[in-house]
Amino acid sequence: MKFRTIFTLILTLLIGGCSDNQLEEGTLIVGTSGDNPPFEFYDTSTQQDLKGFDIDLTQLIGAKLGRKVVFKDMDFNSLIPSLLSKRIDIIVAALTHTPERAKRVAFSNPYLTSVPVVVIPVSSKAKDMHSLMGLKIGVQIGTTHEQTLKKLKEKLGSLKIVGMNKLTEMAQEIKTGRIDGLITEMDNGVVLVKKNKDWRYISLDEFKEPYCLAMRKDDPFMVRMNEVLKELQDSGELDKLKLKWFGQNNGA
Amino acid sequence: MKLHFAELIPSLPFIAKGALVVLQYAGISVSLGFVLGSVLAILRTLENSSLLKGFAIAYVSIFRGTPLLLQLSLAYFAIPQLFGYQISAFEAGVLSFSLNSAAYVSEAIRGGLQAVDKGQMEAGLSLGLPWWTVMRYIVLPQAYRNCLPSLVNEVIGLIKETSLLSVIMEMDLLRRANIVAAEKYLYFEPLLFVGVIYYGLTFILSQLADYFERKLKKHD
Repeated sequence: MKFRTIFTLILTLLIGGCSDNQLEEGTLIVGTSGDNPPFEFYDTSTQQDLKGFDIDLTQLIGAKLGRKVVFKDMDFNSLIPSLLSKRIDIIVAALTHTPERAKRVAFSNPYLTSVPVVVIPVSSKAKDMHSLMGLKIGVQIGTTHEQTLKKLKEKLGSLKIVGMNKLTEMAQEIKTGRIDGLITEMDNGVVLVKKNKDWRYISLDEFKEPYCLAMRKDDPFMVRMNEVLKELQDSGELDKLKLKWFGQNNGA
Repeated sequence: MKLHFAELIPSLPFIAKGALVVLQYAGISVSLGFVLGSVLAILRTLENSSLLKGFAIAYVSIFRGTPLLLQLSLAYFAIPQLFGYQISAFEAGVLSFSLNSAAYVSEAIRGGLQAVDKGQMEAGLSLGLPWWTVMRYIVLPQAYRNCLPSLVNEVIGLIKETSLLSVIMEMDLLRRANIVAAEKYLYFEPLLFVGVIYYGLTFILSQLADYFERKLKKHD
């Protein structure tokens, strides 16, 4: 019997420790994927809270609307299913507008433009977009860069596309030499090149894409959301955020 | 080889918190899975009810025959859409982990039950004891002892499978490692660290099981 008492006690403690916090009325539940600096990431060394461009933007939006903002962090691939199953109200996760995604969700007006870059070692022979021909390029599965690479492949005639799960994984694969380069956002590319002195990047300006907020198609709130984005744009607050997180040259 | 563990040190507490998440999910799911698995195993030994037996067989076949990741995603994303119930990440996680682990545990216990001599049950019944009493106090305890190593196997498996939890918005160990990897642009240093934590957890568990097994052996 003693064993059973201890067992019950442990079970109660475990269950007690994980009650779901009730959300107050009018809270804006925001889905994001905190492994994409500088858009959304965790400062794991100190405060352990989400931060980044998208996070600041969402807080501004929340303040404008007078709604409290709660972030839900998850795997990038879970974002759209979570939105559709009403677990979150909006996606703010450096999500680019694509026709495929637009079939399932409604996009706001763009708040930022994404410029893809290919990061390669300094020693690589590639000089510009056209000289990437025939190289083995890593791409994060499920991102729009996959489509970008496919289009680039059509344009160049030959390109080997290697699908991977994480940006960090791809960076590792350049070091081990299994891929010749990787495709990512300009902003990630800048940081990668800063961290790895023997790397550089080639930007693919003609494949620019808009970043948007995503909501459910039947959500009437989208109209208001676009108004708020416009207000932030006009008041210069959006530009201030860009300056804070990307410096002057990027994220135009 | 160049490793950058120094950069990782401030983030270690963040990653280590994931161990609590792992213990929470694995602890509860294994307990529930153990109870349900025992029931399923007993159902399969029933000779006179083909319906209940058939249910147990079908259950094990389905839950063992589909990936846990799929069961987890279905529990979390399909239940709200189909039944209108907003299942929380914790409920969905515990539900699918328990149901899945019940299937494996029931097979382990069934093995344990088969290893108990048939004469034990017959002897009990012929003494006039009710079937359930014989099962509960004579056959099951022996079966549990027989299958202890396979049960430990299952718990260890479950601990490692909690790494799937990130698809349902839970910050498990692996997700935390990936978050730190993204923040610091370091790939395998955080992974090595969670590897050590996973190994530590399973090592402690298997030591406990060894100790328990030795204690039980004394009664042989």
